[in-house]
Amino acid sequence: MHPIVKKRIIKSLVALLVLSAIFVLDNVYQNSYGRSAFFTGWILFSIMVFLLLFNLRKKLSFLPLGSAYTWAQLHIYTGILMLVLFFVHINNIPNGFFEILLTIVFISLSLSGLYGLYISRILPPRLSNQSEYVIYERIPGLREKIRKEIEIIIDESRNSLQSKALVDFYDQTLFAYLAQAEDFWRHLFNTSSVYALWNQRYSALSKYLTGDELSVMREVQKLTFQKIDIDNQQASRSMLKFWLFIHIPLSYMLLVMVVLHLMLTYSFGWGSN
Amino acid sequence: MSEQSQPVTIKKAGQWDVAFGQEMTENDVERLLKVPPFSSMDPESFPARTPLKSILLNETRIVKYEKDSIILRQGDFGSSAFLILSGSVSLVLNLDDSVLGRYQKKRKSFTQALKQWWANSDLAEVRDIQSYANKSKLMQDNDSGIEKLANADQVLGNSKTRSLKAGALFGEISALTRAQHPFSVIAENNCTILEIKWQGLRNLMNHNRDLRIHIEKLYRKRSLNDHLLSIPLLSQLNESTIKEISSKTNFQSYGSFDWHVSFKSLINKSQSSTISSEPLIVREGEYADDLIIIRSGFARVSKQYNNGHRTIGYLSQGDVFELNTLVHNVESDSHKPYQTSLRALGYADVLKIPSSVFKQYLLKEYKKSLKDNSSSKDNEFSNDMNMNALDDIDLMNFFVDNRFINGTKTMLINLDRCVGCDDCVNACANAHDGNPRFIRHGERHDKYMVANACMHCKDPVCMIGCPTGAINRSYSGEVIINDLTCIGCATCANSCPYNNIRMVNVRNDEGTLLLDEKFNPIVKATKCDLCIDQAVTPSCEYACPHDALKRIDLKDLKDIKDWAN
Repeated sequence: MHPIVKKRIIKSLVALLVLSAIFVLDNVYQNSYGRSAFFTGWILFSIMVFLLLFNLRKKLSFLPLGSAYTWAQLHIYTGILMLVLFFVHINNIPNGFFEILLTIVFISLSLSGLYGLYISRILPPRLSNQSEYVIYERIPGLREKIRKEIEIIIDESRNSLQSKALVDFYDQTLFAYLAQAEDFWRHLFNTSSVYALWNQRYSALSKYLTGDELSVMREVQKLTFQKIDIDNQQASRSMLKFWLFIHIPLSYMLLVMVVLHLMLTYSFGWGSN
Repeated sequence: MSEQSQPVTIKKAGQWDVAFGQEMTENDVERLLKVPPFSSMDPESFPARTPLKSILLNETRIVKYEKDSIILRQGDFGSSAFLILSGSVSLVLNLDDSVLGRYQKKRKSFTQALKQWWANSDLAEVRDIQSYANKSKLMQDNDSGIEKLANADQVLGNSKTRSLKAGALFGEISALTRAQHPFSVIAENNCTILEIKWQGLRNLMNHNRDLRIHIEKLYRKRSLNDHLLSIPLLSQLNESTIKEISSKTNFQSYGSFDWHVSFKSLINKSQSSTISSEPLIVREGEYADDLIIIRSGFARVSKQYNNGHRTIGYLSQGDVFELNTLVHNVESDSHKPYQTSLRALGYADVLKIPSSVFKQYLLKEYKKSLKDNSSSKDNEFSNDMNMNALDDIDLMNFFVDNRFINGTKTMLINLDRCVGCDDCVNACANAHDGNPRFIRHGERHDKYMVANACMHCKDPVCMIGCPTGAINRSYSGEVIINDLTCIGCATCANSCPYNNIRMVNVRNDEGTLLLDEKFNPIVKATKCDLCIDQAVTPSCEYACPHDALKRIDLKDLKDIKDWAN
């Protein structure tokens, strides 16, 4: 068995064991006091605080608090545990406005976390398959470099080439495409379609060119494909960076709402049962 | 704002601003000049820039040791040679670490580490000007005390020892080869020793032929004897047998000691031209008639494949080349040639023990060890680990061609896992006053990237030529830069074959660039120090949430395989 699969199975089993223990304790609590929502609620709150501490741990990288990898693994498995516990806790479809809102925020937070986990497993191998590794902050500079290189080639071609097809193609189609990142979503979900589209465009253009013009076109085409690579890297790297801009604010929003929920529960809910 | 724009000038650090021995006086130098080998040196043969007296004053120090004091520890990295002025010392092998009382690293406590959270500067490369002014005092304060061997008679009684008397030199091999000391040195009685920084030793050798010849002779003799003793296959033999083997062993050097100079131009050439330019030690197909051991440096093991050579592994210090082929030849009548070629990667010292000597003294030991280690997965006398552990010839080529095999803490990034979150870079910056000491970018092969971070090389060529010894090895092997004594000459940065040292302009805590008396920016060399003073180490690896970054000793290729899976 692959070592990673083996590790994941062990971690999942431990998570299941913890979950089972919570269920057992929940039953005991319910049989003794008849108010299990308090039990699971406080466990959920504790888990949420623990999950929030991961962000603090990242900022305190110089303290011997355990490796970030261990924290990340605990964050993932405890987060999944929390998702299951949440549904045990609410027991039924929430009905009040605040509870519905709380549920929406919680589910959005969980989904953003699962999405983050998914893309952090899927996108890096896709990026590592590309010929060049690009640092995110250098992408605009690289795109500008390619744009300038193509611009120089086209400017030289305006007078030297007989056919105006390549120059027209640049003015009408390529110029705007090179100016900024394009096809963000297509790069994320179906990047080959972008390459196919530009292959078709150049193939169509080549019918109007001969000899030297074709070799100039191929040079421009090569640079265009480099730009597509860079756009592809930007789309994937943006996604890997910016999902946290949803996940982290949602987690703080949830913390505030849970504290309010606790206050409301203890103010108005204690005597109802 | 207007105040900030005013340049701040401080005195630029000079080569001998901080003498090696603060207590060295002119009188000491005069006394030394009456003692061999200095008494026979002609002061006129030294250039005006580095006169003999100044070398002795600034690059040596006199240290007094009481009986049983530990002068050198086996395994520590040498940066000084030692001349016995009076008394005598014992060279001792294989003393226990606990006996030697090895230093514990001075790491930051939890509270000291926490303090960095708010104490780190928001500006790049800020330095405390006061620390430069007080550097002499600081360096004296940092000198560690001399430790003594407990129960010396009992401990030394169980170990192999050799005695050196007044006038003898030791530690010169380690100092000149940037290698670990092959033995420990203990004071036999109260003795006075002149410690010579390797920069000073190099200066003395450059301008004095007799000393150069003497040291080269010692280098060959001691390197051979001591190295033979440290090889597992020979470690159980008695001294007379070692001497016998030593007298029949050929000691050959291949390539250039300053290999880094040519490496930068070689790296851009094709693999075939790179291999063909490497000095050949053994050609595939030659009759296997010697036991070949790598004394220091690295060697490429390759096999002919059509018109080129396939790298199938590499050897480093202590590794043995094709031992099985030699054993076959000494045991049977059929002659088997070497199956692979061996070439020096830049520089390699090689020991060749003739097959007749091997058969007479070592074959029995080898067979015994094979029997003892039959259950062990790795044969300690072969280099199987370096050959087969990766199962990836292209990756092996990548490590060897780029000489990454030199690294003991190479930063390897698994791009299949790296999400580019920069937590590693941020953690590094947090540990270094807001300044990251590596670049998350570098040479790539498939899913692996070797990032531009100091690899803490086995053969740290960056240390060659540092005029002040600011770049040095810590007791635990990390290559570190002393910011106080760095004069910003960039010799180390230019020597580093991997471009892992950066020169930076430094500023005060208000953000103003520091200038010297001639209004040139004060420049300092910076690089990864493996978080030597931090509570967690290395911060980069510790901070990676995806297990995508690892500091790896490329000697242990199995580690890479285990981690990658």
